Amino acid sequence: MKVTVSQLANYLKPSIKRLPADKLIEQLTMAGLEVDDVQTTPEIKGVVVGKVTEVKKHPNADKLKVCAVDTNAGKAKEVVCGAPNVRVGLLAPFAPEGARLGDMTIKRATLRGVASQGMLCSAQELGLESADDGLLELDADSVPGKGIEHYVRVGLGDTKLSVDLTPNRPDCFSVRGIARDIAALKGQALSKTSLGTRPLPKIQMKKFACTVELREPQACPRYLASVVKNIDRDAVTPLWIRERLWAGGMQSVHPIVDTLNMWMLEIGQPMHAFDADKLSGKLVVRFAKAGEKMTALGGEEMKLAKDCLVIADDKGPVAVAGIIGGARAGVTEATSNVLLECAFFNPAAIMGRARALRTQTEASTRFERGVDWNMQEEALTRALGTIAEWSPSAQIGGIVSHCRKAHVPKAKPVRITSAGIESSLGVNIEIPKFKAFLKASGCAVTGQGKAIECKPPAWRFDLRIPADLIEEAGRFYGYERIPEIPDEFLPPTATTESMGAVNRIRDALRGRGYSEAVTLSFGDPDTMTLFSDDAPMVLDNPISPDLAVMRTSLWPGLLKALLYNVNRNRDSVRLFEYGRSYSQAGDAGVVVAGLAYGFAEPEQWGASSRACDFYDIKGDLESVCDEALRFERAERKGLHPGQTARILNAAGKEIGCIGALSPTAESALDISGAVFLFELHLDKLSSRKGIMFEKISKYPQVRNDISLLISEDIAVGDVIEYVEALKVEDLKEVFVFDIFQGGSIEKNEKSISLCLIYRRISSTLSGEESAQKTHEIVNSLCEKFNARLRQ
Amino acid sequence: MDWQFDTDALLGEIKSAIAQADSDALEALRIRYLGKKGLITAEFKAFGAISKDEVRRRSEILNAFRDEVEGLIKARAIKLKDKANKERLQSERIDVSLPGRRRHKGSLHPLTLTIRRIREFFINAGFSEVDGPEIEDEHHNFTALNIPENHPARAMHDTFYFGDGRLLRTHTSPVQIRAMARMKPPLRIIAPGRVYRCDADATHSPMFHQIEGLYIDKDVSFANLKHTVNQFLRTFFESDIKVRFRPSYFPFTEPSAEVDIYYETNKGGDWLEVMGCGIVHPNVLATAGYDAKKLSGYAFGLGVERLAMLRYGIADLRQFFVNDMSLLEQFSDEL
Repeated sequence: MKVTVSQLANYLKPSIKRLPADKLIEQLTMAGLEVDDVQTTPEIKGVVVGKVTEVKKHPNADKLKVCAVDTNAGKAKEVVCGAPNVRVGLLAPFAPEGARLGDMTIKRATLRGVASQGMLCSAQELGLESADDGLLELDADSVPGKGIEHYVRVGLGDTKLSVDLTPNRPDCFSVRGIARDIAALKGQALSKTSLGTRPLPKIQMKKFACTVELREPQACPRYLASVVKNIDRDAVTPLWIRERLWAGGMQSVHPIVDTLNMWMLEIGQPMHAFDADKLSGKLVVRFAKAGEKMTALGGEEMKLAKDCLVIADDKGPVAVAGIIGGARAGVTEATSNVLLECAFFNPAAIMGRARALRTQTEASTRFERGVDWNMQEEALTRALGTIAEWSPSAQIGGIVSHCRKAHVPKAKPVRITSAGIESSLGVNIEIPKFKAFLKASGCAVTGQGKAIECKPPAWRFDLRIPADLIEEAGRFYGYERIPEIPDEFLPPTATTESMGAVNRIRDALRGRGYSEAVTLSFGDPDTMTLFSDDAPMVLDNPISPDLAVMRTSLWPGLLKALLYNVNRNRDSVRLFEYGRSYSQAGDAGVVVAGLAYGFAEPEQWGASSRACDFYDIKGDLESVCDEALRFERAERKGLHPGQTARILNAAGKEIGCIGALSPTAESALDISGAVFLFELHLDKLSSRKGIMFEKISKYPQVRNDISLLISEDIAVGDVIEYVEALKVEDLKEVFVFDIFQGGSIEKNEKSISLCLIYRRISSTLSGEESAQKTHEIVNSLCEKFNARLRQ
Repeated sequence: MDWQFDTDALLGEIKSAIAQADSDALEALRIRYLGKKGLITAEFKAFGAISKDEVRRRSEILNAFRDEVEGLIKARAIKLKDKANKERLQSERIDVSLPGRRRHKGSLHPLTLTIRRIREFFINAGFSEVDGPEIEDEHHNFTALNIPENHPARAMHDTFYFGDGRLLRTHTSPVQIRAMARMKPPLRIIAPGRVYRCDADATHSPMFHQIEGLYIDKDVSFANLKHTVNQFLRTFFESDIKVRFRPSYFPFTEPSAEVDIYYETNKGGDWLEVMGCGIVHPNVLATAGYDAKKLSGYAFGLGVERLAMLRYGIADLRQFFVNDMSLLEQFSDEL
């Protein structure tokens, strides 16, 4: 809602009116009416009404005119003007030499050889938000020479506010509504303003028939109509209406429409005008029929759903109730007879419909949040009076009121106690002052002492339960004055165990040189299929086609990040991400996934650069997991079949996958250089066991090394597992310290060197004892794997 | 009386030999004079039949000579060792300014760091961390939070839908509903996580992070909420930052507030919105099966990106999701 300080001041009593603008803005914001933009219009000094008495061609410029401007001060001024609407008889703002428009002082200027004794001004040059860049056309009764401030009352040297209203405060969707809240917080009523109480001209109301059938009284319990005939088609919208439209962020389109819009901005009631000559038969307020369509005022054809309330005549819908009018019976320049609609539509019948039609309008915004259900007569009366003012020829029809009283909302009293307020806000507030505030807000308040009963006014849809009134109490008292009180002590429960594991793995990966990434949870369907044939979850309304499906793996996002960095000449990238992946069924669990690309170690002196490989990544995973892992050869879409393993936990459960990006995926993604990927399903990790200390030996350990020749097909992991499974007494560690192929080793064979470490708690192992054990191990291996001891 | 032992002449000879000896030559000299088959042993062995006095006299001379030679050799050995040490130290000098052996340095994401920082405060304050699904239904994301169908507040949440009733949660508030269904009051929880809005421009990302907080007990008041939030913001920003609570509207809290902090930059200060909060709406408690007459609570929702941007001075929200190594690496020293 856009409003200016001068508009608000119009409704406020002097004590509040005199507040500096910044104080007023702070008050509004602290009352929950957040001012999210403030603009001060330029200060205007010395600008007067000028009357164009002569328009001549400029001798040296086709687009410029030389005009005589009468300011009722001696000789007419000679003024050069380029505006398309300049014409003899026009009354427009004139800034003579010495006048000030903000930072600009008007000086005598020579334009293409002709001296100009001042400037004729557009609305924009005065700081008004008209979209029209021609000269501002003043009303015909403006007096030449008189200061412009006598005619432009709103927006001139004013402060423009943009108030971001929350959906619970539709009552503030008008100048009067906002002013009422400011006044109420001071316990005051609104002042009787010149505009708000503008006396209606004495109108001889005619009796024009207009029948409206309320077929859905629940959705539309009140519909006021009035027919106005013989409207002056040449009339222009008076300036006092136009300036209020501009201040409210609207533009002038047609005097009738402007009049209705201006009153909507001023007091909050949207109204609609039909061209009465284009209506056929009586009006019916009903829900749209299946398949019904309507061409809206803008020309767009709308398919109306069955829950869409419409105003229809014999030929079909002429308006979507409370949202937008139809083109068929719309007001045009040729219109001279209108039917004005001023209705109360129940918010429940309007909510969501504008969004479904993708047509949010000023009217729908107000109706779906709630318009004062008792305001219709006042609003229509004011609109009719205003029309009579600018079109004296108009024959004003009386107001025909259709009302189904039983369906008009009724405010129910809400009871609160001072104890209730204190328990919820944590502070005791003064009930008498609070009552004054509620009364000034329009509530009917009864009850004495600690309990009060409050019946909200017809414009407050947000005061239904005690909590709503407690919020009002807080707003009135001031949130900033509420004290700070510590919570009662409540012992914490342990952080979810999986969170602990997540944090340990993240920290460990960071320690191994991985940077944590955060990528979007949705992505491009084609990239997803690189790693999985499973159909992903598809978004109904993605923001772009490359973010259309939920990720089935974290790898596509990480690879996109990799590419971004590689394209910026990064030679080594290690990334990981923690997050969820999704299958068609929904959440597929929490995953830590990562990738490594480029050098195993940063390029540096004293070490030759080596590209990272499968074993670097495998080592990283072995080091970051809390448990011993097993790796088994496996295949996975998108990964290199010769360099992929499934990862099993100590219990033999599959918990993840590791591998090199397949050459096909490499070229699909346009990546050159090997990429290694991993993923760990965190919910499948074994829960962490507490550490149980194992007794240590005082005696030295003994090391035996052996080298075996085995077939190259045999997995070294199997050999080690086999040795461990022998459970040789005192054997504490087995590890591979060398693998060798080629040279003197036969083709199809490899040499593996194992280190065996023995330790005993009670004594030192003798050389003979350990040699005996090693001998037995070698014999078993030779038998099991057809191995030979390498001499 | 023909035993002749010219100590002085021998010593002169030995001294000059020792002065030039390297460690091998010195060992040869030691063997020659002091060894088992050396000169002194030989002299003792050659005594033959001589008087006791003569034995004593000769022994004294030889012992004195041996002590002298031993001393000379030892001194030379020390000198040689010193020299060798010096030479070793000299030869082992390195350029200590050369960089140390480096490994890739990893980092945690600034959003993770921010969530950790926030979590630390609330865990210490007695909150427990819980988790909730990102794919939600209308009930948990809206209806149970007092946002009925067609309510204008739903328009404030540009929701991603899947066409089968499922949707991506637009806020972390559904975790409130799930926690209340699972836990018994009193309860005090936080729930960080990803949330989604169908909105993307310079100040919006279709995915961002929130942290939900909920405290339900007897007699929980707005004053409690103010205390917790103020303490949190002061701790988070490590200063006595100016905080203001301003009335606002959320369907699931009543009263509701937005929290602004006064944020000062070199261009001047301004109020910045950092979170929304309020007293849990009685309808939300009732839907969760809690007795709104006996229990009350507060809830809050923090925007993680906003807090991270303020803490680290990152101006563009979208930078969090690009994963540029030059940005990520800047956080390598934070845990």
